[in-house]
Amino acid sequence: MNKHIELLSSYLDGELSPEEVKQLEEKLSYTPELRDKLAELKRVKELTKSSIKKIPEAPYFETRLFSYLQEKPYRNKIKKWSPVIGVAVLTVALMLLLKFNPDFLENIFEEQKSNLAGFYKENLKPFLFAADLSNEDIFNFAFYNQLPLDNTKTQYIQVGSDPSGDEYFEISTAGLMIEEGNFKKFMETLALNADQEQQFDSIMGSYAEALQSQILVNDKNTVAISPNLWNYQKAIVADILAFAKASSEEVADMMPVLFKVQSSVVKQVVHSVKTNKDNEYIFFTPDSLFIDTFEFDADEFKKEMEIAKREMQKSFQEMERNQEEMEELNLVRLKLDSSLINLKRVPRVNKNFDIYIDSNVCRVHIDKIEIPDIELPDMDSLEAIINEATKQFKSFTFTVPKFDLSDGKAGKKFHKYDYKIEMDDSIKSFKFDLHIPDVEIPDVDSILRNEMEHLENFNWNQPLMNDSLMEWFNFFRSDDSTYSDNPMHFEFRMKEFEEEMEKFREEMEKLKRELRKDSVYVKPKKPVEI
Amino acid sequence: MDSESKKEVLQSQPRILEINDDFSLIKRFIEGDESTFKTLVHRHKEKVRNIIYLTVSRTEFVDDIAQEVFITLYKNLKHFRFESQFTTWLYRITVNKCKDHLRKMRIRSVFVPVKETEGYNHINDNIDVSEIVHKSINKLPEKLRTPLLLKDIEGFSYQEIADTIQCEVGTVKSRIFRAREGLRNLLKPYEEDLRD
Repeated sequence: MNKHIELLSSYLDGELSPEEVKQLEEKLSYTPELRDKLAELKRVKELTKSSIKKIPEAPYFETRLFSYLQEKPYRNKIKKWSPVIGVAVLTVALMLLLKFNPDFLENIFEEQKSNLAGFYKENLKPFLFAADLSNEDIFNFAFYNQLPLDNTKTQYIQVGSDPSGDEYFEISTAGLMIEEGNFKKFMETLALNADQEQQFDSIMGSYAEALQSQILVNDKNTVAISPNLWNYQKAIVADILAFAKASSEEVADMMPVLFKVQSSVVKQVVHSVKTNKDNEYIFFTPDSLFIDTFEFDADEFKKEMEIAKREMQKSFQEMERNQEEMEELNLVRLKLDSSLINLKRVPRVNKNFDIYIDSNVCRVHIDKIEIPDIELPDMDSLEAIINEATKQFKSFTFTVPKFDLSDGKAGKKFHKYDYKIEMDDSIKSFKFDLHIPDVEIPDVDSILRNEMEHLENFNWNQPLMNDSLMEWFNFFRSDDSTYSDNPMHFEFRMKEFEEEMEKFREEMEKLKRELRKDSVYVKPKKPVEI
Repeated sequence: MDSESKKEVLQSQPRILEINDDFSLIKRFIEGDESTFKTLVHRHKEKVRNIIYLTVSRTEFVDDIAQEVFITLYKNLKHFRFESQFTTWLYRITVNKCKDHLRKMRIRSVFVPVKETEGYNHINDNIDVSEIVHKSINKLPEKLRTPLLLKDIEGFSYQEIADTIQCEVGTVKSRIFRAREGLRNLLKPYEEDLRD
């Protein structure tokens, strides 16, 4: 039966021999199943025939074919190998070029470098001009190494050297808390007459002008700082000390170190600092750090500014009604943005600079940069004097609340307070009578001692990797484990919590994705079994 | 008719008797007259394209494969040995190219997500009968489908099919039978629709 069924198919196609046909037709006549089967197969054959239509002609088939065939075969080979050949030829060419002209690449780099430097050096203007430095600012710069960068005093530049002797400077949004009126106190102590005052004013004024050219900025966010800035700081201290020594014996009594100051040496130092024509600047740009010479024409700038000032005064008069607008007229504002952090990745820079950045401070250690030494035989001794004087000065301005001693009426408490300053050759003590009405006076001495201990134990050398404010916060709160009443701490904990939640959410997302991936998978269909 | 009079006939009606069958064209091609290749292509391209279409059952690949077939033909025509029909040889190249293509597609399909099942439901009113059959034919394995279609669509004899796909006539016979049986099974669910 099966054999006959298989023959039916060939029978339909007319592929059987006459003998086979005869046999099969005989069989068909008495086997209805076979006839049914034949009908079925016939139907399938008809369906097959009718189901598929010929595909339409392709009009451009021959054109395409012959255009391909006409391409020469070796052309194809070249095409195939052309990228390889191109690279090979280029490599050989470069090798030859570098062999006969080894400086080629270096020259290109140098050229690019100077182009870049030129770009950033364009249009540099003194930064401190905007700050409009007062005598007090210069005084603070001398003794506290800190200069305001704008007249609203929201940004400061601080220069100094850390205990290991490396110079650094930092730009911060919050300066050290300097007691206001130090300069005033100093002036009061000096008790200058009118002539001396004028003289002192002119000294400070000359520094204000000179400092201007030490920090330059432009609209391309470049900051150029002259290494001479450190020398200026020392020179100003020396100059102030020399002046103090010359004008007031009282001050000399209070600061024994002043006796060591030789005004002739100071004069020489100040002169050489001011006439230092080393035009090197450290350039800080959004994408690089480099040292280059730059000629700043102070006189030209002065002229320009005078013209600008006149124009501005005119417009100021017009604008006087609109105070708000005037306040917005901050000439330059340096933004501490995170892009500076990228500088750390520049390898060349890493050799010369260490940069610590957080939201408030940008501190740059420049241990490998030569601060031009002032070539004077007595500079070392003078520097020692300056250091000592600075120390003593800070001791003097140690803040002890001012109390009105004259108002000592009966029934009010008096407190006596001794404060001692240790110096190399003598111990000076000061006595204060404290009078605070109806208030429990805290033990100032113990508080001070505690604070001082903290400060001494604090590791100042550690890199300011995390936010310095946070550092300070931890430092002052280190003995308190609860923090319960501290809003800052609460915020911090909230942030931590939020971060944890974010992490958790991400985990869940991941899980979800994975689950979905599994569900997408469909088992492949089995082929039709026939 | 002796050879002399034959010559006369040839001379008197040279154009009509110009022999343009495949063998002569190929001979002239081998002798250096490449223009005859154009005639060959023109003559056979539609058949070749249809065979490709039947074998790979996708229109979008037909012309590319056909181009490949004729390029191969062009490169190998000089080695043609006049032992078999030219068409058999050409169709063999065509079927082999199609098999190459299908093999590539299979490898590629391993990396492509499985498509959703293509099923027809009876609820659909506008069922195109020939489309159902066509899809069912496409579900047949290639080795069954090609002989079936060469027979029923192109009208090849069993012997021609055997020459083209390079197998025995008996094999062709049984494959065509199995193809029809398979198709019958595949079409069973649609019996109702197909009856009209």
